[in-house]
Amino acid sequence: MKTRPRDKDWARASAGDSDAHDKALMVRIAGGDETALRDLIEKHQGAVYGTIAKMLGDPVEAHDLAQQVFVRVYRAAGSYRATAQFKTWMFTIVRNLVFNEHRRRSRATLVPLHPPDNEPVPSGGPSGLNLPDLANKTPVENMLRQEMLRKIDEAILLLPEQQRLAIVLRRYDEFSYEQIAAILKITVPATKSLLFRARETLRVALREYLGTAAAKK
Amino acid sequence: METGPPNDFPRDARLDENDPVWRLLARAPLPEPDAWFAARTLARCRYEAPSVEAETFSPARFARIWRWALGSGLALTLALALVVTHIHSEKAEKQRKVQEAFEIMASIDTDSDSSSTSPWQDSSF
Repeated sequence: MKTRPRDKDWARASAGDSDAHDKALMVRIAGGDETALRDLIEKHQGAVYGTIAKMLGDPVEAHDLAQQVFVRVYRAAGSYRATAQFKTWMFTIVRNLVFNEHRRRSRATLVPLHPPDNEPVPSGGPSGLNLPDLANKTPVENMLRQEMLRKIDEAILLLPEQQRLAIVLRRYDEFSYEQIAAILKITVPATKSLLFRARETLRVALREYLGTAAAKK
Repeated sequence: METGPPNDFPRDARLDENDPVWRLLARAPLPEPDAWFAARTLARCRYEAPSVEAETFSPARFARIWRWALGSGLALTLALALVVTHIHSEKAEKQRKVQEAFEIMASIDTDSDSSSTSPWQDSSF
């Protein structure tokens, strides 16, 4: 039990160091330092690209939007003021771009994100997002695993956009409620409510993978 | 001994980790970008946002602006000087012509004054 406060302190210090490092990189980028820009991209590309890919379910579009995020960060480097955490600020750009893309898609006719059930799933996993572990599993296990991954991604994609972003930021990017609230421009209680509803929806949608006990919960 | 996940919110994270939905979501991790993502993004930044200098102050930018300003200022001054000289010379020419015209008129008047002794005006006839 005694290690808890120390863990907390370490986590805070680590997060603070990371934020200070990001802000220092932004200062260098504003001075025209391309190495700093490369460092920043390499540090955050996984979180930015992954979040957008989970939000859109389209790896090609996710590449484009993730690049746009970094272009905007680069353009804004000169006027960037370190009032909030850098990551929160950057994910506000992610949110704006993703929600704009949703609005654009809702006005356009688009091809379905996943192939119909009777079509074979391409290698590289559902919609090419996840690479299956083919080495240690039987073909049946691989097929079942791919099916499960596809169902999970589909269930996330079926959530309303605010709930979807909240769940991705919380589960995969490990943002705090306060940070998610700042990114979504809502209150902390509203964020908690959003996450609760998202989880309940996912619990129902994925009940076959949760087992009967979890589904009844 | 208890150790929590290394993030800002151990208590909430612990609650999350007890949720089967949370554990299930972890089995479908975030997709990774390809190996060339950073290089391509850097190239796009260079292409789409030519320079961060455009939005901030830097000595190089100031020097460039100053060079342009100096060149433009000189060109403008030269053009203005040419226009002013041209207008001035036109005015002087006009004035000279008017003066000549007045002189001619004045000489005509003198001639007409001298015709007072004309035989046509002589009352002695």
